[in-house]
Amino acid sequence: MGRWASPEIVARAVSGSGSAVEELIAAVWPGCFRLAVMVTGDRGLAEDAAQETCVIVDRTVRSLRCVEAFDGWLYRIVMRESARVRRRRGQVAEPTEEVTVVDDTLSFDIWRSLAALSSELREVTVLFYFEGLSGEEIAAALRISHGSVRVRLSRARERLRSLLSDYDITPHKTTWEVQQNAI
Amino acid sequence: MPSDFAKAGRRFQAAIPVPELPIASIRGRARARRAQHRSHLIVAFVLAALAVLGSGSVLAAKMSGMRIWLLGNNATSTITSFTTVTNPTPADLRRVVANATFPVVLPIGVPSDAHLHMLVFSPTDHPNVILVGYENKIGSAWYWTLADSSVIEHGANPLLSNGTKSPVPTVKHWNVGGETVIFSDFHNFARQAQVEAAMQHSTPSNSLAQSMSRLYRVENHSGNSGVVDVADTIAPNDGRNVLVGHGYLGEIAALARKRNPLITDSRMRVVDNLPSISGKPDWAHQSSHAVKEVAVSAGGVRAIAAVLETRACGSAPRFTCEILFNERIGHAYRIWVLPLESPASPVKYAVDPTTLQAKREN
Repeated sequence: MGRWASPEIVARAVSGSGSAVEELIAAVWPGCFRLAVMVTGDRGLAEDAAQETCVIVDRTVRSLRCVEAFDGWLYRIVMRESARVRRRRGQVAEPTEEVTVVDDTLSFDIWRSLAALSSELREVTVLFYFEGLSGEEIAAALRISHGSVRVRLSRARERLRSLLSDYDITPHKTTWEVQQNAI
Repeated sequence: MPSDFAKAGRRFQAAIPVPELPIASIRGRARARRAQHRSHLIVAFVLAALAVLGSGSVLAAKMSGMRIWLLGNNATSTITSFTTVTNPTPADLRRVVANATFPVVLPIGVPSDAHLHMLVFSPTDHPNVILVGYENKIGSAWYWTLADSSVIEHGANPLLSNGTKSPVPTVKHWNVGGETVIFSDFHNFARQAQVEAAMQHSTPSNSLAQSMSRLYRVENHSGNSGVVDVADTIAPNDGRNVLVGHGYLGEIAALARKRNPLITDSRMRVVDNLPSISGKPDWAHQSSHAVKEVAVSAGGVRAIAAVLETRACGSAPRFTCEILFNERIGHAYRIWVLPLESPASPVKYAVDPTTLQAKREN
C-alpha cells in the first residue's frame, strides 16, 4: 500500500474528488513512465503506455471498491498497457543510452541485458528485482499463475547470468524461491 | 534479495528522466474515450428502441450496415457498422445528407432550446440509415431514425424466428416521400405529432436549411456546454469558428514551436465491424477508428500561442479559459479568451498572421 501515491490521495480520488484524481495522476506518472520504459525498452512506447494508464485512472479509479486494491490494480494496468503498445508497434528498437542519465557501464549493460530478454522474462525481472513485488503480486499483475512466475524468473536469471558474466552481480534467488524449492 | 543486480537496476530505473506530465494529452484521450462511450450508449439506446417484436403486418428493412424490421408499431434492428459524429458542423450535415441514398427530410419543429448534437449513419459512404440526435441545455435528448424506404422489405424477421421474447416498447413510424422516419415512443416527447406534421409539409432542402440553424456555428472541441453557448453567440458569421477546449491548450506551445496544426480525434468515429453476441452488440470486440481532423491550422496555432503568452488564460498546466478561434483567409486571426469562471465576459484579441502580434481589442 502506498507504492504509487499516498493512501490519502488515493482515498480522495476513489471517493470521487476531481482534483484528487488530477493529483493522483501527477503522483503516479513518473512511476508509470519509468516502469513502462523498463518493460517496453522504449521511451516513446513508454509514454504512450503511461498516458493510457493515466486515462484509465482518470476514468475508472472511482469504481475501485477499496483503497488497498489500488497498488495491484495500477500495476496490472501499466503492465497490460505496456504489452498492448508493444504489440501494436511490433518489435522494440535497440535500446539507446539516452534512456537514462546514469553514466556508468554497469547500468547500461544491465539495460542491454534486459533488452536481450523476451518480453515475458523482462516483465517478471523488472517487477521482481526492481519493483520489489512478491511472487503473488507479480502473478496478479500479469494475470498468470504463481508457478509461471517462478519458471519465468528462473529462465530470466539463467539468461542474465550469461549476459552479465563479466560482472559479479548476477541476480540471486529469493527467500520465497528457496523456501518453495522452486528452482 | 535484493542483490547487486537489483540495486544497480533500481538505480538505473530511478535515473530515467521523466517527461513533463502531458495532462492535456491525457485529458484529450479521456475525452475521446468518453465520446466513444457516449456514442455507443446512444446507438445501444436506439437499438433497444428498435429491437422489439410484435404482431401484424411486417415491414422488414434490409440494409448494408444496419438492418431494420418494422412490425406494426414495433421494430427490430441489427447493426454491424456505422459512423458517429458528435457536435456536427454544417459541413458534416451537408455531407451526410448529400451522400445519402434517399432524399433526406430532417426532423424539424424540435424545441428551440435544443441543438442538433449527434449524427449516426450507416453505411459510412452512402448512408441509407441516419440517426439524428437533438439535446437541450438540461440534458433532454431525442433521436429520430431516418431510413431509405426503398430498401425496406416486407416479411418476417428471420433473426427472431427462434422464439426469443424481448421487451416490446413501441415506436412511431411514418413516411415522408422516400424516407421512413422512426421515433421511439419512450422519448415521451409531447411535440412528436408536431414534428411529424412539420416534416410531412417540408422538403429536403427546406428541412436542411432549418436544421442548419440548430447546429452550433462553432466547431466544438470543448466539453463545457456553458462555454459553447457563449462562443456560439459571439462567433462571427464569416470565416471558420473553432472552440478550443482548455484541455487542448497545454499542447499549443509545443505545436507552435514545431509549426504544427492542432489535430483532434474526439469528434468522429467509424465502427467498421460490430460483432454480436447473444443477439446483442459486442462492443468489446468492435473494430473502430477515430477520424483525425485539423481543428486549427498551423498559423492559427501560432496565433493562439501568441495570445496564451499574454497570460490572459492562466498558464500551463492549469489554463483558466477556453479559446474561440476565428480564421478568415487573408485577414487577422480573431481570438476570444473565454474564462471558465465567467465565459460571458470574453476578451477579444486580433493577431496579425505575419508578425503574430496579439492586440487586445476590448
